[in-house]
Amino acid sequence: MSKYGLLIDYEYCTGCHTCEVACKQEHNLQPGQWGIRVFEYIQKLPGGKLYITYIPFPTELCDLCQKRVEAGLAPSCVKHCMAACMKFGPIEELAKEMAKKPRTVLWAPK
Amino acid sequence: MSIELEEGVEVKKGACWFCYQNCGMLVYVKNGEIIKIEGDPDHPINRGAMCPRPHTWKEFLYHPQRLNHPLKRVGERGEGKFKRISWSEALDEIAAKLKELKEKYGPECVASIGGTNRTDDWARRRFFNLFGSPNICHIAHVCWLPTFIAETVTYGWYAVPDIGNSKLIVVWGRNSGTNNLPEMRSILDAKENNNAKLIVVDPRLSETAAKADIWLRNRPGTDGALALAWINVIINEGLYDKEYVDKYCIGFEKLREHIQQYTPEWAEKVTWIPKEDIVETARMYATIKPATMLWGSKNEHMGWGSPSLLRARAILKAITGNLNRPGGNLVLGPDTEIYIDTDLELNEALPPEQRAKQLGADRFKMMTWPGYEVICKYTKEFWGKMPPAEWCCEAHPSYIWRAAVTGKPYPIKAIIVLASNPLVAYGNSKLVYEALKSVELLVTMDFWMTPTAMLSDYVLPAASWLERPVATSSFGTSCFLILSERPIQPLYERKTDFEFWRELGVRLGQEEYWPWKTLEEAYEYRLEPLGLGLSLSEFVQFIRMHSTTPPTTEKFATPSGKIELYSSILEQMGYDPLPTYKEPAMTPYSNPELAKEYPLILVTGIKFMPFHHSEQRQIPVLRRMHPDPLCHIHPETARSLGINDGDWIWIETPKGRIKQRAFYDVSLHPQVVCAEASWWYPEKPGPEPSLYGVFESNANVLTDDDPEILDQVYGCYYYTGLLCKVYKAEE
Repeated sequence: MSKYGLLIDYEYCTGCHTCEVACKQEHNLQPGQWGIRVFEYIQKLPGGKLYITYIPFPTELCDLCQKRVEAGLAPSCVKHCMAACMKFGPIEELAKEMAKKPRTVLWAPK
Repeated sequence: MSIELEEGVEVKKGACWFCYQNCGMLVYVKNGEIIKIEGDPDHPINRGAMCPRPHTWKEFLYHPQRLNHPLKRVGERGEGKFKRISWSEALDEIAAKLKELKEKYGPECVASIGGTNRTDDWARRRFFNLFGSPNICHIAHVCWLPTFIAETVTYGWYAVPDIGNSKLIVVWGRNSGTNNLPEMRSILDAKENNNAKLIVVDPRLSETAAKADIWLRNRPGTDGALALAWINVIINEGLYDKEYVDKYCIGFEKLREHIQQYTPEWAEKVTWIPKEDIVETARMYATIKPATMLWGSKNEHMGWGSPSLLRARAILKAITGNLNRPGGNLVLGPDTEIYIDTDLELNEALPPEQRAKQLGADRFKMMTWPGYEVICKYTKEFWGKMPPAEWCCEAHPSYIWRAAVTGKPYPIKAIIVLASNPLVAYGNSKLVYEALKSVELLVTMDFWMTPTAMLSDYVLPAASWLERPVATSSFGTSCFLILSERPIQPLYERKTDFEFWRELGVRLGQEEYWPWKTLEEAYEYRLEPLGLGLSLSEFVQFIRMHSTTPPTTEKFATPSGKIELYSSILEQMGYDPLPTYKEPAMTPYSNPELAKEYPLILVTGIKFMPFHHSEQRQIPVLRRMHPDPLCHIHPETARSLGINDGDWIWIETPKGRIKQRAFYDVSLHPQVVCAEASWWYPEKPGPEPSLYGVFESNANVLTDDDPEILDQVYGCYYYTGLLCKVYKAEE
């Protein structure tokens, strides 16, 4: 699985926390454990405009939903993302996507 | 092996009702039990996605606190002592009491309070039209319907935003990023695909404003002034669509004259938005074509400030020629090919003398029988259909509570509450409490023992979308009908609201009017005009969202057949035919004396993920994500009051005080605070005086519903832009 990853578009993440719950339920995670978390960062840009960034951050518990993927399904967070801002696939392909879409991050599990 | 291929697994096409979007769901069922739910990739609303709420379907379906059997109160009201009874006992007893009250006080003494479009409201209206009471309502006066009516008097129905084809999207009084996630995705698609610009009007940098090209931060409650100044700029700079206005609109010269007073300089003083920004955004809206503007419920929370805003927004769509233009706002009308909600309501059964008794109809004429009859005349002529009386023609709740407490103008003696928790949903919670305590019969049908249920004489268990089919069309007013099948049979003794009204009606002599025994039969009847002869399950395999192709027309369902910038219907009903700004009743400008003691400006009713309204607080996975109510406050203001981020604070208005946690928010004007809506604590004691802590953090403890301070046209409540003070609470 190591050659697969997630491409996360943080320009379009809206901070709805769907991925957190989709993951938690899929993997039956205990309270306090998360496979992915959405962080929020607010700052004042030069010129004074306030800007919020939401960024989903997969944790060490993420296995890219191995069981789902084996069954031909997308990882739960990707499938259910309400903003459709996450993609799953081979890293090389995602890297090509990344070249076309700025303000994304590419992530792979250990 | 994928789950679809397991033996004995059926995939049911359900539709989620954990909010009112009705996203399509694939519900995997084995041996009559649900084993899994996934978003339906083919559904036009959610396109396969699924927000946090349906992920917790199992916790919801089997939650130990769910209501599973009818209960009857045995102790004092509010003491929390109930005994289990059978459905037939409950229905027999309720029917007998309703009959007795009807004979003694007239049918109008029975009122009903509804929820947020997660019920078959036509069935409720059908029951009450046959019973004879006009006194039923929802929280329609703060949600969608005032906008619908304001647009209907202007151009004959609501104009649906065509986000996908738009180049400029205006989100106003709305946070799609928490309240309507499928819509938010469409906005992002338009940004990516069309390079669409996004303008967001909001006192706070919301999830939606975070994605905006221009965020206009206004003083809460003054949005009408901004809309009027936009009209001023667009007309005076000659940016309006002259050809469109000449061809389709009437009243333009009167409008031009009327809005001269609303200059950007004036609007800057009122709204606190710099006039340069007002002018720039007005120009953008008029020149970046096509532009679309979304509905926002906050626009209906401004009391006196609402009516001019709602009309001005409708006028803006028309004079810029964005109406009925792809990528703008489309007047699609109702679904004319099937039986819509109105067709099932039996409104003709309610005689004129009973219509005349509707509470609040003498004041708020546009959302009660007087205005509704006028609107129906023109929509019926034009579309062949009328908007539903549910939502568009409702008794005003503030009058229902007062009639229950004072007996004036006549007594309300029974209230049936369905899918609603009026103690948190309606302004002036303490009065609502008094009213619920004063009636002789209080019946609540719900999923949970809510604070309102705790005060009830009968508590009835409701079936959820997992246990029932759904057919819904956004408050009965949309050009479509969303349909789904029943995933599993109801657990325990849970029933649908349709069954409740039907079985109650049968007991009260209405049997001939309830030919359908199940919801499936009723929905199949709704589809009969299509002549397909399919069962509901067969139908939803092909169509999840039925809609008609709207007629291409050059006319509108108004008295003149034109877009009425100057509204003859409003004039006829005794209201201002042009939008005139009115400062809400309790602001630093309208009540400077009060502002000395209550110096901050309060927004109540902030919505937040993962909850919808007052729901889901019982679901541990969701609650842990947002355990406490938050009040947004600027750090400078907080520090000057000795309040740290996360401290419990009191928020106080002349009506009362509540506790929420301070949440530092640098995006706010330092004088503005924003409190979250709809809080109660299912984990706290139910019996009085606690009532699940319903008065501790519920923002409607802070709001007033005095009819004088509400909007006088539709009856919009006053939930935003009022005065308050905050101070640190001891833990």
